Amino acid sequence: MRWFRFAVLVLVASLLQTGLVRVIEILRPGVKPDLLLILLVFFALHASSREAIVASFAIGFAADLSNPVVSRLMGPRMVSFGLFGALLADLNSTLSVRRLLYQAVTIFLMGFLTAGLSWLLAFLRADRLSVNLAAALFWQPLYSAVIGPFLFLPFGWWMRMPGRGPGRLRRFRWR
Amino acid sequence: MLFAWGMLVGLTFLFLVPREAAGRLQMTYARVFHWPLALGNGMVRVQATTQVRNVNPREHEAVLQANQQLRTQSLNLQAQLQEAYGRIEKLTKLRAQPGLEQMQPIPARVIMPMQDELTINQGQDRGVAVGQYVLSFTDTLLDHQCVIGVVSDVSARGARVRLITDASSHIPVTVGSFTVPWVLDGRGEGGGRIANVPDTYTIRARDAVYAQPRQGFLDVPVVVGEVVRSRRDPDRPIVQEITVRPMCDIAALGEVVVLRPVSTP
Repeated sequence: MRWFRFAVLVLVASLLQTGLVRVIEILRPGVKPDLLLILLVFFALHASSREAIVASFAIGFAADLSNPVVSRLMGPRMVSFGLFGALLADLNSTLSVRRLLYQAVTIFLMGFLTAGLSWLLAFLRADRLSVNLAAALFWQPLYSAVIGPFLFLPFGWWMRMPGRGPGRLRRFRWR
Repeated sequence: MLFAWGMLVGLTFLFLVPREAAGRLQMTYARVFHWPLALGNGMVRVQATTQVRNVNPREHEAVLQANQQLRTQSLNLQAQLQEAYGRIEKLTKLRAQPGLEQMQPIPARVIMPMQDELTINQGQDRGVAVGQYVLSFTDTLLDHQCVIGVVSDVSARGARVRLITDASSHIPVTVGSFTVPWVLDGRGEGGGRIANVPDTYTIRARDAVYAQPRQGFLDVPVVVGEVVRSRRDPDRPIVQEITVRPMCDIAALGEVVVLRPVSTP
């Protein structure tokens, strides 16, 4: 894997997540796509197992840095992203998630699980939590699931992942 | 093994790294990338301000009405604030006068001017008490303020001021540069007189008449009026009778100041 390109991609995604993604908030504040979650699923599905584990923890670290569950607290998203990213990478060796619909479902489930574990871990350390559970556990994963599979194309092109570039668009199947 | 190391690092961050250190790390990220983050936030603000929301006409009307009420309230408050500023400025000047540091001036409005008497809108609630001196309170300089009378009667929210011109008014005074205490008696008709001034004192027209300091009521001499004329007493030629008029136009006063000692509760 091209780690420099990976670092740039994660950095850009975290900056966009912190700032610009709020532009496309829908329904209510906090309902916005999670670019780092989409990146996590992308690398878990497209990188080798070892690379996926490193990428998962690195993306989790970036998420803690730029979009922490609770301010002045690091670790919840790193642990949850690392755990479920590694699990998905392991499962990917036996289950092939190639269809867009399955990818969307995977993103939704990963969003739900990572958000749930992050909040639980944050609850252990934080004195007080203001939780918008509906947005964190349902709406944000759903929004990410809707747009995530389409972002896999530019991600694949940028990372030069074999079989995932724009030249291979025809290989994606809708059903 | 890689996974175990990752979890170890993550749990270390979660449980061992102090929250202050984690906060500093997050702040460093925000400081390093403040430019793209600020750009993003700026775009969010622009987007937020350009969003158009459909509003029900009735709701719109209610909002407009509420806005009008708020504006009216705001204008009234501004006017009251302006007046309060003016009052504070005057009081500041008054407090700045040497000798009045131990006195607390209580501004009051004249609510009922009568012949040789005033009724004011401040009373016991504000610390006004019988015997306290009352000064004029005009927009001119403090040097122009003068004693106009003494509080003669007081209620909770009002007081009566016996003017120096009232026939029952007797205020200890000094004249000009003399330190000898005399008494200024009111004569009605807008004036007063000082009787029994020995012939040895030379009193001239336009000499100033000062209210004498009184312990707890007035710490320094304050001008009361000026001498109009001095003449020998027809009944007792060895003494003079001094005619005095108030230094200010009492009838034109809208506001006065009651001097209250600071120590008074």
